[in-house]
Amino acid sequence: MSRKLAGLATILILLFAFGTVFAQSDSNTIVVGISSDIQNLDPHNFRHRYTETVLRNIYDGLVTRGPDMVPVPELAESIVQIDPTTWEFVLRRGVKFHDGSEMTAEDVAFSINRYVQEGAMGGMTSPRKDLLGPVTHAEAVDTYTVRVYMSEPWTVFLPYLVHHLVVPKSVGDSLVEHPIGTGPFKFVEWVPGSHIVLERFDDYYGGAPDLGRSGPAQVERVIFRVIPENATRLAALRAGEIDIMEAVPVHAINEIINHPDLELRPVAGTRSYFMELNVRKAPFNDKRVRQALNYAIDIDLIVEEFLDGLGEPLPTILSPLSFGYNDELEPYPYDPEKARQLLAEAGYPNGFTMELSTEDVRRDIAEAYAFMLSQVGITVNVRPWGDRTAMNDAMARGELDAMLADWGDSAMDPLGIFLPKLRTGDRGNYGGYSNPEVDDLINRAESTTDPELRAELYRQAQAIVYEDAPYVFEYITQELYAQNKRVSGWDPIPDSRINLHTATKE
Amino acid sequence: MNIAQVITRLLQLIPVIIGVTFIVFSLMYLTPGDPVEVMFGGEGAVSEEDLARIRRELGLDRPFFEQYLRFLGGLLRGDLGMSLVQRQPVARLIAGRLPATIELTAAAILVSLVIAIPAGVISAVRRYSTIDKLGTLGTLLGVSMPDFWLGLVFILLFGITWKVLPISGRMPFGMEPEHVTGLFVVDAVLTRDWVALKTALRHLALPAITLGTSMAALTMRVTRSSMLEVVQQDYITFARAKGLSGTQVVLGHALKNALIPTVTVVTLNIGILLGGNMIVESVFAWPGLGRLVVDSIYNRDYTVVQAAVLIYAITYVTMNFLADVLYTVLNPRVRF
Repeated sequence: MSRKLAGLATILILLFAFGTVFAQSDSNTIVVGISSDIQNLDPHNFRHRYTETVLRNIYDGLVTRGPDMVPVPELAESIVQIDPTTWEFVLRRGVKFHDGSEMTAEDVAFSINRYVQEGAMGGMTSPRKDLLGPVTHAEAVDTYTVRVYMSEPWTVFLPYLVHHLVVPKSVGDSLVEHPIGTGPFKFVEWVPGSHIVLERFDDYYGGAPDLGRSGPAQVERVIFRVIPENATRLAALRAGEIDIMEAVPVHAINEIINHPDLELRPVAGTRSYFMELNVRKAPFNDKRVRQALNYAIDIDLIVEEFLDGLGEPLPTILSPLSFGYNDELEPYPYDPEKARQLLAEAGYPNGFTMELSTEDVRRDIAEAYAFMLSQVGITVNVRPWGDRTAMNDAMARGELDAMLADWGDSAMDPLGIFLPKLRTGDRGNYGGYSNPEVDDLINRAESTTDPELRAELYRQAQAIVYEDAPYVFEYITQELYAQNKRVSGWDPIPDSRINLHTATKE
Repeated sequence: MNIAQVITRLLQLIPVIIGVTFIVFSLMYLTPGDPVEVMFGGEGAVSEEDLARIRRELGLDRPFFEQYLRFLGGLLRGDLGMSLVQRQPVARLIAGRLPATIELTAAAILVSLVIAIPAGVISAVRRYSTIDKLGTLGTLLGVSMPDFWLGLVFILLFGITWKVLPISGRMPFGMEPEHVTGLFVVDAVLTRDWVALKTALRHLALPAITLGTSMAALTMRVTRSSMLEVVQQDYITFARAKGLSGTQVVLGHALKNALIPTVTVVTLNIGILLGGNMIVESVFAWPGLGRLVVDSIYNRDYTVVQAAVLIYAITYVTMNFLADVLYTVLNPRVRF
């Protein structure tokens, strides 16, 4: 028996020890390591960033955007707003789907209707319906012209239309199994939990000219490999098993910078971080206390120490890349003296005791805040939560004092973050902030069709919110990607898409 | 155990499994967080009316017992429900992940047995020798090292420093053997695809050794102590007195009886492993059942989590049952 075992062991050792590592990484294939699997293959049936990251290589939309986040035409050739609630898109001619058929206005209208109409997805409704807000339907005017109709004027139509992808009418609901788009890559296979393989589409029309794109993709094949564990994904990048790594952990930054073959690729993120205060109750119902908290916390130091400098302090919760950003506001400076003075004015010369809720992942930052606040006399008990939904719910019921929270807004528009977080009673306003002036400015901004006026109204609203300080404003983080230096022609973009149309590899 | 006893024992499993379904369903029902909101990208991306409509479409607005009975009814028909997030049958999602987990489980068990049984036997027979002491030290290390740490150390050593083994995934694109069972090693042998076999084994190596090492530690300890007890019994002394060689005594007479506790440990371990080891599967990007469950928990894909937990429970109960049956095979005097 032991002889048999020894034999078996020898065979195993031979198998493992004397093989070369098979790195699936020739110059015609780019392998991307992503931290989460996609949810499905239907471009109208998900609310999940990784799914969009991958599917955006298979599908194109009427519009798209580059690293500066400005929408530009992609499948559309020209875009005209005919009246406040009607938009007309003239399509590019000769655009082919991966099955060889030509894309026409019928396909585009079908794609929009499948997205916005109830029950249009084989009896189900697209979970992306609200991403096109007031859009009611679309119709083909002629072979290359589509009209989109809305129930009310909507100024942020184009930034949101970026997330809409065009599918062929003929295929309908079989997209779940085998996606067919007009994008630079064709779908080959998806092995759930393992990888997604895409192959170059040779008849690609070339993509958005405004982004300097043309012709088919440079590489023959793209593989998205799902590697959830950060350390393994990094090891895979170092070993050459993957070429591009998504979601680099902050502690790995130096390792990547110091590695001769690797390059760090940071990009501004779309997620704002803040400490939400329960403004319904004392002492947080006093503006001076809230401002004092903002002065008592050194956000620069937090960004330096906890984010390795890869973040930007914010004056409110709106990203500097966002539409209507008020660049006259400066983030609250660190001024503990001023904080003590404001607390004394508010009747808390000796501070007070508060509880700070946080998700477990940001507990270290919460502890740092607790220390900073102790310097102005405020005693903070940190309360970690395992579940963010439960924490938000507790805040919405008014049970918490304060919580570390965040909110993502990939459309880079106040509509996606400023309105839901700050308008009285809106869906993300857990802390109970309510200022009629702000409500009025937001409502006016959302009913105007003049983008300039809309921006101005939001700038005014930001100034009021800055002064009211319903949050301790924190920062916006950078998203970190890393890549092998053999790859070029690719840039990370804030909304987490990884478009590999123009990427090449030595 | 005769057939009647086996059947009685099987029937006893039924109330246990029904109880499990109730507990699983209740737990998922009581978990905080709204799956429908999560489906729609988190905090309130969709209006209340839309959320209510989707809840209605999915039957999530029905009373608890009605939902539970529907769930049970579905189970009886082999229908585990639809995934809330992927909108595909849960049974299909789980079936897609099972081969990876079964393959890893089998390999890990093999690794652990290859290490543990000889080590346990030798340690027991040569008690207090250097081998025994080394073995005990080894098991202490094996038990103490967390899987994710050991996995990462293996990745750094074999994948980066020595560059001899792949560090993540199960099979690179384009190298899969022809599909027969879904188990790559088996399929490669059946279709005589030796390149695929080698690739599959090489990908299997690190996760299987990681999982197998920690299991081997426990198995070895159990085997050793049980072996120690057995070799002191009269019938062993008698066998020696008969003039049988040491090997014959140990392997022919002692081992079979000594393996009873080992069988318990190993079968229960198989039961646990078949659920998919979430940590090792995550570390090695192994597309098994454990990863599906972790992802589904993050996505609040309740129907998938519920089905998976149920499968765990049933597997565990079944493995327990198998262990009982195996005792009687190893030692016919065992009665229930």
